Amino acid sequence: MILRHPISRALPVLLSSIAALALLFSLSGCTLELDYDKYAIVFGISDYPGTGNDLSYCDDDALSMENLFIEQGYPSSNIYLEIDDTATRANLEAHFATVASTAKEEDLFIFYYSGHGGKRPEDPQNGSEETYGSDSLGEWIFLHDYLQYVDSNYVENLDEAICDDELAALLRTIPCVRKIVLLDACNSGGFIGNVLEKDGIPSDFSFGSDGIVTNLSNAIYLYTNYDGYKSDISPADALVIAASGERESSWEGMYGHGVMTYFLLQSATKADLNGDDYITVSESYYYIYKNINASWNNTTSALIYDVFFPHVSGGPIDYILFTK
Amino acid sequence: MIENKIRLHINNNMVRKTTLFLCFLIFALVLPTPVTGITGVALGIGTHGGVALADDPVGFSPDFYTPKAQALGAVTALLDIPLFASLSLGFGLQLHTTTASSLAGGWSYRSHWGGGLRLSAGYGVQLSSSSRPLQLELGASAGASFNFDRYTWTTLLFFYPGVFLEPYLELYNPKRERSSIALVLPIDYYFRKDLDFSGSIGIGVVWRYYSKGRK
Repeated sequence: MILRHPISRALPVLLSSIAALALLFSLSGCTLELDYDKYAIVFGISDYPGTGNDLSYCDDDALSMENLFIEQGYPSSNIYLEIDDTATRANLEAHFATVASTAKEEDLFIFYYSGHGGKRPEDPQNGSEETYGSDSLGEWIFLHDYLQYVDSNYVENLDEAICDDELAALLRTIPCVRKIVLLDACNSGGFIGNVLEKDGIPSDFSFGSDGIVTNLSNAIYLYTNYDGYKSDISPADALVIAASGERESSWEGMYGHGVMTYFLLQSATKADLNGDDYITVSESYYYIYKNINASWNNTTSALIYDVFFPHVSGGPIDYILFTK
Repeated sequence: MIENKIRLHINNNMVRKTTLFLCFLIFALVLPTPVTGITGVALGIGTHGGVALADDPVGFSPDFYTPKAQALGAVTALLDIPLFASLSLGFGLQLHTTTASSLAGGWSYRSHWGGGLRLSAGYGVQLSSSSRPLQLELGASAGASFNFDRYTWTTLLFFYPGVFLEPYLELYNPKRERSSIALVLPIDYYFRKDLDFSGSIGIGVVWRYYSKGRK
């Protein structure tokens, strides 16, 4: 009886039409024209001044990332690699200036860093300016010359380091619309300037997640108090994958690499979660955090050292990071 | 040149928003006066699929990021409470997912999934005579949604409200009068603070069970 009704007869036709339309929409971008140049600045520092602050694998991380970028089709001339004593603030700024003068809007830019990171006042002379985040300290990456030999001691000189807002300012000089920052350093989650998203993982993973009610109410709070992107690296500045939370250390020693970098390198071939042959920032991040959880946080490594959890930028946009 | 581009972009934006509001207005104006009646609370479950459209991520380069479509799917549990003869209040708990858009140009609008509360008011008119074996009711519900979503493959949770209009065509058999099935066309507009435009249109079915029979 139902099938004889005109509406019943029309229903399958209508549903099929809508489904076909939806399919047409979703397939409209299947053939990708990725005709753009790619630029990368790659910094890795294992050997800091003196011996007390040396790391083991950050230089290897940087070399492996350079190789990966070459495999991914980056021209060698577009990769600016600095290791150990040449990984200075002056060189970083010079390379940013070079890319800023040569790259175009449609190009892709990646900044990769492996080395020490930490928390300090953003303005060492006048105290902190940081107003966003879980405390009043800014996050820094410590470039090679930040340790200087003065009166028989190595002392910090933050003029040779880069804080979150300074890196954001440098990124804004790059004309590329798509910019990605990959940070394998302690406290690097503090570089991420999300303002609309509540991260379900706290800035110190060992504290455990907030409850669902807290997360939901925080999400509403962030929505109602949104006043534009203010500080750190906003999703509009660049998408960031950070090795650890704002209040965490990150670790190295995973098969000759930093833990995050080890899985980042793997993600270029293993993180194609939707089978489309492209690995986006979100897919790479998912692969990294799942594997850090399984291979570090749930093993004796975490008991000996400490747990940590990578973080990623929010925002409505995702970028292709690797092509499978 | 840049000024022209910006002006063109603003004009396009206004055209898009005006078109959307006109769509809402047309649907609202063509709805007939409600004359049918339903008594008793109704429980229901519905599902729909469709297309979401996003445009103009806030703070990003407006010329680079074009509108892109995303597929969406949703399942909603419903509770309808009659107010007057044919006006009812609806409460819905929805689970939904939106796929990523295409990666054309090396970027996409992110995939996200989550849940939401949908509050609505609805009314309808009976189209077919009571002598027919199957009865038809045409109506619409309109209301607000409050959504909590998580970007897929991340741990990031975000909130966004929205408004929706949901025209429906409900089919029921007087011999089994306590249940009905309806074809729905939900049109949603989302107030995302990181997107200047975000909306969706879909098609789906809703099954309802009424605690009392129809008048």
